[in-house]
Amino acid sequence: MNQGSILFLSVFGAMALSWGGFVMLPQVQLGSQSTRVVKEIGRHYPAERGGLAERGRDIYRAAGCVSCHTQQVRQSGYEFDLVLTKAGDFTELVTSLVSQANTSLTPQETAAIVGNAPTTILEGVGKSEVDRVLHLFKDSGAKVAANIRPLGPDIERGWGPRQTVGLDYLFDQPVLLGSQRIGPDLVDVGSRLTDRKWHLLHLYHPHTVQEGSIMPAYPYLFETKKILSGPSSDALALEGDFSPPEGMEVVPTPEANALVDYLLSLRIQNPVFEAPYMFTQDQGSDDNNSQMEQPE
Amino acid sequence: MEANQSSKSTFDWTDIDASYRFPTLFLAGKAVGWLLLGTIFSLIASIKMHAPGFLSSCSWVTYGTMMPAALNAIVYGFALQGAFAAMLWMTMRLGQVRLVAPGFLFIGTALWNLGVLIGVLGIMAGHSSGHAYLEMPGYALPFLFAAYGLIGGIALVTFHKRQVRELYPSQWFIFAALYWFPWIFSAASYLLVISPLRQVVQPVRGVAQSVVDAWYVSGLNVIVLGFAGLAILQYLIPKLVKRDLHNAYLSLFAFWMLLLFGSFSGILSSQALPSWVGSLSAVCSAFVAFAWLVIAYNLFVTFRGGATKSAGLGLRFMYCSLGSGLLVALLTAWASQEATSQVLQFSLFVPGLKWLYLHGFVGMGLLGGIYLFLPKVTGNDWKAQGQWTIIFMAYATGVILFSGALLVGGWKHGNMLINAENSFVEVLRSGILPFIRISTAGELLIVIAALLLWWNVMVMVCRTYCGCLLSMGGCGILAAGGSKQLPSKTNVKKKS
Repeated sequence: MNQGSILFLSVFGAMALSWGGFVMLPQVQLGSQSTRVVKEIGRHYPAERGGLAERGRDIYRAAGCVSCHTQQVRQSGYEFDLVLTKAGDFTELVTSLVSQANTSLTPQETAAIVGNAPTTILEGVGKSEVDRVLHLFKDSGAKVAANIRPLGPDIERGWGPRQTVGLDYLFDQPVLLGSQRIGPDLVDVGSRLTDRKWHLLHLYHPHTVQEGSIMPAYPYLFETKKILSGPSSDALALEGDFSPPEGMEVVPTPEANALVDYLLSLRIQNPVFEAPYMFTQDQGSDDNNSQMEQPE
Repeated sequence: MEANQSSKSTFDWTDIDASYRFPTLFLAGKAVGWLLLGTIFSLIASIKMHAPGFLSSCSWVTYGTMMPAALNAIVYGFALQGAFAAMLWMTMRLGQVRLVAPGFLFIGTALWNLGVLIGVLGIMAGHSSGHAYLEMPGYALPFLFAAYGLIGGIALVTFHKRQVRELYPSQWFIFAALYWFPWIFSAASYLLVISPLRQVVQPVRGVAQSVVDAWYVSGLNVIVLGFAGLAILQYLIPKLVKRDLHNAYLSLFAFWMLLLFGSFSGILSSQALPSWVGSLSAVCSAFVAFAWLVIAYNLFVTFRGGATKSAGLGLRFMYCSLGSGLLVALLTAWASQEATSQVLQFSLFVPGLKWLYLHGFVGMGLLGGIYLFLPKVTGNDWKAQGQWTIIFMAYATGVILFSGALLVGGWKHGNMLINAENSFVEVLRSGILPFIRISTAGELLIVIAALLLWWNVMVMVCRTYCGCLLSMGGCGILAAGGSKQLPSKTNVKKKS
């Protein structure tokens, strides 16, 4: 390889290969994604954020929140709960099937399950067990549903009900996935911490609401001003060391409000095709779509 | 096949070195300046971890702006600029050719520094783009493109005009790095940061942005900075131990492996991305690690039994650089495995690897390069050899403390994160803070090393400029004759 031209061609080839494989291909796979109707919530998902929240994302980006906070939930697998939703007419047959499905049940428990449907037959089982039980009940007239429960430390921590998927970020420009968890994950913070005042206090100084936090304070998002005719309605309720001097109050700037709007808009509280889970909002209704007869 | 650098001892280098004297002083001087600034930013960010109230009233210096400002200052200001300087010098030396158009190189360098300055200030002002390694706002990028057009163009023309037609392995790496950078930089910044055709062309949407960004980061690290560093190692180690590179075919093999697989390594699988991204990246990382092992073996055989005793400080820089680069490649391959990536994904391990690569591999290589190149190019010896030993010790210890603490802490941090029984405050208290403390101490040492380095380079710059002015004033030599007269003047000084 002692010729400049051969070197040029080989590097060019490698470059084109890399470009095609790692830039074009993802673009082809993901570039045409669009919103879709999620049956469980009965509307298109994801929705574009509103005006203030959109402005808030700019402040999130400018302050570099992404340096310490990720916006992605990991999931290590699934578990299923098997629920007898409808016992049907053949009570005897169904009772024997339930005892076959869960051999650890006493006859009384079995009878109670069949009598009080919908009731849970088995909790936290794997896919092969689900297949076996669904097969048992195939022609019994009873209905058994397998409810999906995502597993993983992030989900246990309450950082989100399911894993995040590409669809969740469709309208994010830029996508702020983050790569480090110096602070907690924020992809579902809007449904975890719903109190606006809490967020404002936390931004003003994290120690007002969270002992031992190492998040920086963002006092520049607030304004300390003189109380004129009376205290402002949006003044922060600061106490102790944090309270402003006598006759002064701390009010959030529009930027702080926008940032909090953005944080509150971060929610992934609905299942999507790629990441299903048992959705409880409309459990009362008959048509429960998150129950899958044939789970993926 | 043994590759030799065809540098016959009888060849007169003065003319070639003289053509590069002031450009390299400019490039290297600016590069160490950015290193100093970047490490100071990074130290400020690090202090904020212990004292969240520190400098908190100003939006320009929050942790979230200081970190990317530090990264961009170090990557674009120090690492890339230093790499340009080193690659240009090696191109000239290996090709036995004078630098073409030094004047344009001055303009290019000035533009580059202006671009980085605007970019870093833009990040601090809150205009960061939010994409890793591409945080610089769109309005800084035209300067960088124009600057690279000049710097890269000059390098390629110099390469083309070489007197020695046969290529030494370092030259492949230099050529590939110079060629790769503008492509990935323009593609990624066009797709992510600036798109003048936003209204016409559909911008990259959703997580595809993250894939493009990961591709850019990997290409920049493994191929552009990596190849520059490897070119330095393969050029300087044989020179320092006075032996030929053991086997050029091994180099060629590693070159191809890195070129084919380097642009997609080190991406830890993320469930927000398509699953093939993580798996493919794990495979690429393994190939990259293998290529690194081949290079390390090749260089090890080269310096084993060579004149290592007399090689001095320069070789120690090279050892550290080679060791860090190999370690990062192996750790990246290990961390990309499905099981380990689950643990290490969002932990301190990731920045630990990043800084070990930037300071340990690229930084050590460039510092060694500066230590060895500058006296040759300027004809002035370093005034304070002792200070260089301090720079080396402080930098090496600093890098070990800084990235070592993050790597070890990352393992604990990650393990605590995947066990939901540890509350997040506990994770913070025992999985993050103790290690950040140690890493801050490391950063302090790096700042000291950078400060001393900057001082030494500035002294060198002043001495060379003064020497030049004196000789111009004394003898009235200007223009054409000047460049040929200068080295002899300085050489005489050195001897006397």
